[in-house]
Amino acid sequence: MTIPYRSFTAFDHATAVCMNPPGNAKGDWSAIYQGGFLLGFQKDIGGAWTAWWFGIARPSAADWALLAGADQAIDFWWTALFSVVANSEAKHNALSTVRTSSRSGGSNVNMGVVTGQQYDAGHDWSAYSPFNNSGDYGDGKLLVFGDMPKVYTLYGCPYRDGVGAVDNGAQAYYIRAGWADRMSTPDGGDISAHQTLQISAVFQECRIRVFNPVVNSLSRVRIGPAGGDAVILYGLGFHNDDAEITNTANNPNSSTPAGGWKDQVNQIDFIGKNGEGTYSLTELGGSYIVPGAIGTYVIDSTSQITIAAMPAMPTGFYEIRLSKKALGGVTAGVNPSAFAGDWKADPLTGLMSSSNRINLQVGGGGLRRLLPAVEWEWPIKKYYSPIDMRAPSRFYDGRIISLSNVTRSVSSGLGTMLGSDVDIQLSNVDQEFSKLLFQYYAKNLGVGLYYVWSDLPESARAAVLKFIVDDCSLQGPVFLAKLKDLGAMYFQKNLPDKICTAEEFPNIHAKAVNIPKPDVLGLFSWTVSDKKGAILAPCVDTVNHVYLAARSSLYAITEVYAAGVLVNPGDYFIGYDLAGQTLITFSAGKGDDDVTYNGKGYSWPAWNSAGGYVQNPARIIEFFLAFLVGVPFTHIDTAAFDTLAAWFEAQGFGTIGKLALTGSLACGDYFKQLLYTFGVLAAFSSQGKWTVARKDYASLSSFKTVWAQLDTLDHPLREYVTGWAFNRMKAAWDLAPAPNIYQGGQVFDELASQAIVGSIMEPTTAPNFPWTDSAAWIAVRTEEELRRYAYGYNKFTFTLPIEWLDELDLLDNIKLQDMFGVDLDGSGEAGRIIYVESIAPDLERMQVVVTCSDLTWLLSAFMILGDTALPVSWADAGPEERAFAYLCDTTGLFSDGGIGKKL
Amino acid sequence: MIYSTENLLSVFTMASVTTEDPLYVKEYLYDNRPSRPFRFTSKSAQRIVIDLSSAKPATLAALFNHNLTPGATVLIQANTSNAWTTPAFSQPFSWRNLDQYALLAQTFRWWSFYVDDPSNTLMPEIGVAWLGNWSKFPNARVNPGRVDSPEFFQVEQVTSYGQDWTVYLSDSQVFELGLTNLISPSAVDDIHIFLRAIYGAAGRFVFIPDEAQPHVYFVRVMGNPSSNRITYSSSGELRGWTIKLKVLTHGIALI
Repeated sequence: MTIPYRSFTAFDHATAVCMNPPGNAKGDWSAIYQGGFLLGFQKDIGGAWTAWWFGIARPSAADWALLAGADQAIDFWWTALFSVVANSEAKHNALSTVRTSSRSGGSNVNMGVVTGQQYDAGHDWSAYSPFNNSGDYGDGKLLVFGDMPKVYTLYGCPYRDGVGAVDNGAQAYYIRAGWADRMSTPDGGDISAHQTLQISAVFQECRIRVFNPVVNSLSRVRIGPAGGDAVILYGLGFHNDDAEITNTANNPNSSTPAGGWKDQVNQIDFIGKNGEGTYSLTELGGSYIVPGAIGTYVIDSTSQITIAAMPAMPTGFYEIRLSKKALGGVTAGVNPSAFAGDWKADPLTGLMSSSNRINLQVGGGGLRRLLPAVEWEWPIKKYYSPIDMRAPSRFYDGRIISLSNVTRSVSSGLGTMLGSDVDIQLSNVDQEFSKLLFQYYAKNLGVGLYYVWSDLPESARAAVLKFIVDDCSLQGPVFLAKLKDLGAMYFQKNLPDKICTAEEFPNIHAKAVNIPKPDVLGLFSWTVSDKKGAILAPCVDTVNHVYLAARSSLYAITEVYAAGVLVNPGDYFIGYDLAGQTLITFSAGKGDDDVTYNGKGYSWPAWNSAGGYVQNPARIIEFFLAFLVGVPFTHIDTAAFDTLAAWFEAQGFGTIGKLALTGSLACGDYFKQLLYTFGVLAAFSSQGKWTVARKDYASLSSFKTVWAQLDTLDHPLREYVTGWAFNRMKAAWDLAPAPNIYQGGQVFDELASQAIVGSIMEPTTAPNFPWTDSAAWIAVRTEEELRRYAYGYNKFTFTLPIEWLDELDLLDNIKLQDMFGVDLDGSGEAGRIIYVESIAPDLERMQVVVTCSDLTWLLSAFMILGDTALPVSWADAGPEERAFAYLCDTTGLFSDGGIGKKL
Repeated sequence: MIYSTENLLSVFTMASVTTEDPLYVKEYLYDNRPSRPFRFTSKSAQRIVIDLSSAKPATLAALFNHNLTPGATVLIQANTSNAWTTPAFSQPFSWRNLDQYALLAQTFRWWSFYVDDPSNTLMPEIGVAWLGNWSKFPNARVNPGRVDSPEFFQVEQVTSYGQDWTVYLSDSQVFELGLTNLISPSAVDDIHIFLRAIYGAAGRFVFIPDEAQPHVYFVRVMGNPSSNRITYSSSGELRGWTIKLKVLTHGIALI
């Protein structure tokens, strides 16, 4: 299992310089602000210290705080890329430390001005030395200078025997000051006179693992007042594994307290929202006794609690609080607790994201109705709906005059998400929006569209989609806004978004000015022709002969070319600057020659393939979204990426991905190229997260059934879309960006289709797969594309009552029962397999228009056995009949050349 | 038929409330929007106090879109000072779901709505509290055949096979008021005075179709009443007037 954690990936870096170590007086410290995170030491020729560098790194997110429900840290995991800046004495290593400062006067360190003398402008540290005095129980890992550049993850210690839960006690200091410390004494003791040892770090992630339990959902949200109903709580962190908390494998300084962590949930309180009282349950067999407790429960696992019989409770709505009150080894009085729903955690990874509090309804009932609502993220959030709706913690202003239909869809061909624009009209009779627009900008303002069922608490509202304001206008008493889906917010730019400038590089070569800084993932190699080298490195320093290989830190550069000629590795060295950029520095100038290279792209330890850098196609897409596009992790369905990455790995395609952002191109265009290369569908889920999936046979494991007779408001429409048909692909793959050459190419045919339709048809868009070097993968991709489109591409459209809104999301698999459907004996289809390609809730007419894509093309590659009468040969069978069993010959092909089926 | 066009409870006369939900504040008591209520944060012995600065008469008290229970004690009280242990005037409301009123005839500076509803599962809410004076049209006659049309907003869906998917959204009520006997200028003046009185509040006023009955409505005038004048003679002599009224929505309560 896993432990709930919060993740932060953007950091502010600074360095405080002590000129007279150990620095017990303010005057011993430099008053000059220095950006970048540096650790190290320096002595002058007489052997006196001239500098101790103290690095400071703190996440820059506004919610870097101990928020309720996630306020009891187990430990802090810091991941950073370390590089050697100077090591004149050739020291080998130093022990890692993970410490912080408690001397910022109870305030946050201002990372824009912090120095060794002051933590904020005009605010001295409360004592000197300002650092090195709290959280002094890091994992003691060896930082090996010879291995650098290298990504290390360093761990704060949850417990050290006889000391107490260090990080839990110091957690507030980490929030205020981040990681703030110097390097420990290097191997063999202090550096000698006239020597310098300095390393830099660019931080990639900080995780805070927490003791607080997280409830994602309940098995039921309504129970009877008489009691006796069973309720199951699903979530994470209900009883974490002791070894996992202690984490000795990564952090040998950590230990489990005597008697264990005892971090199980000891008490569950149901707190009436309107004075119904509080009803408490205690764990069955738990050692913690609650006076007056009236029931019990069982912790089935750290992700599930079963309450076999709820107590009798008065009709009403109840919030649910889970508490851990017997924690071992932690400061007395620390009782981690959380209200159900305030946070949710990815069950696979543990990544937490904030959410809405869950209520349990006791009693009540009746017919339900759906109420649409929108949440506008003005500096003070505003909630609007078509009629005034009053709830305990929100008031929905009844201002919505009209709301156009919302459509979300996935392009089957390109895999990309298409979010419809939405027009909304709101009443401005009382000048609500006149006033708001006077104060604030509406552009890119977040707008969440929700719906609430009338028989459920408002806090159980469900999301339809997250939007941003794209444009708006004011026409007297009416405010009109055009909304785009939130996903579009991050796709309104070109990539790479950083360019080489004379401001950053004063000695830049004239032809490198405004050249995009390359971003590189995966393996790139181009070793033929007179233009060798896959990636162009712009010259950013003509004086010192420096070329920028990548905007961030490459895993390796294998060959460097100047004007297409291989350069002797002894004539250059690879380094990283304080921002982590990869630089190639030559010993002699290269004039106007283009410098190109082959190499291995960025590393992200959690996502690296076996080679030590990111190559898995799923991880390439995830890296692209998270770090190149800049989508926050809270808007990424990390579990879906984990699943997809595991699939590629299992299929033997775990190292086939690559991506190079070199020429300025629309963000969405790069995204389309990636999705098409890897045959992945991407959608922005109703929960406001980018999710991904591949539709192949393995994905057909679960279905929802739609009955045309009972569920659809009209007869399902089946369109054959033969205009999309193609039966030949001239595939090109493996792009080398510098020469702009595809290294692979082949023609793939669907011979049966060519024979039946009587012509060769090619797709209207060139089938280019730039971001893989695997011919085997291209064989898979072209086969599935040809199977899918060889005879057109069936689509199904039907309308469902609004109740289905809870049931369906993009990419869901469906079985459609339609008595007018096409099947072998004409009795109607018993369950054609399709998946949701487009979903359009109409919140005014209370219905959902669903468009689905056919999936039976997947089955044409597999055998379905049965006794239905079939044409005797594959060649005679129609496209519907090919879903069933046919035998090919020993060549693996059918008699007409079609690809055989798999058993 | 009686009506009341001015609420004596306003931003100038609102004195205090015993408890107040920060999301549903006391200003909502007089915002002419019953669907956005004021909410107490306690259920017992709660009070809304009004200071009229000097003794003024009031003949009508009403509460719109409340969630009080039949067992609640709800009083309209008045006194010469802001002291409520033994007020000089105290009169209970007869409970009705959502909207209720009381007729009275008192002149005081200090007024108070008192609410005690301990058995309510929710915190007491009041959409609009009204303290005012009722009037009648002294000359115009209200037609007895008043149109009274409850409206139900709902979505009706039926599948191709007859499966019903009907859902109720909300309801409202519409009145059509016919005024006749408008031959005399004074009767016409009645209408003009009435319309001018309500337009400051966007056509909103308290409407009691029959003071012998418990029904009270917070309504607004629909459309432009002037266009509904009916003239019966070629000389343009004014004989009748039709005013359409819509009861302001109660909104939706979510838990």
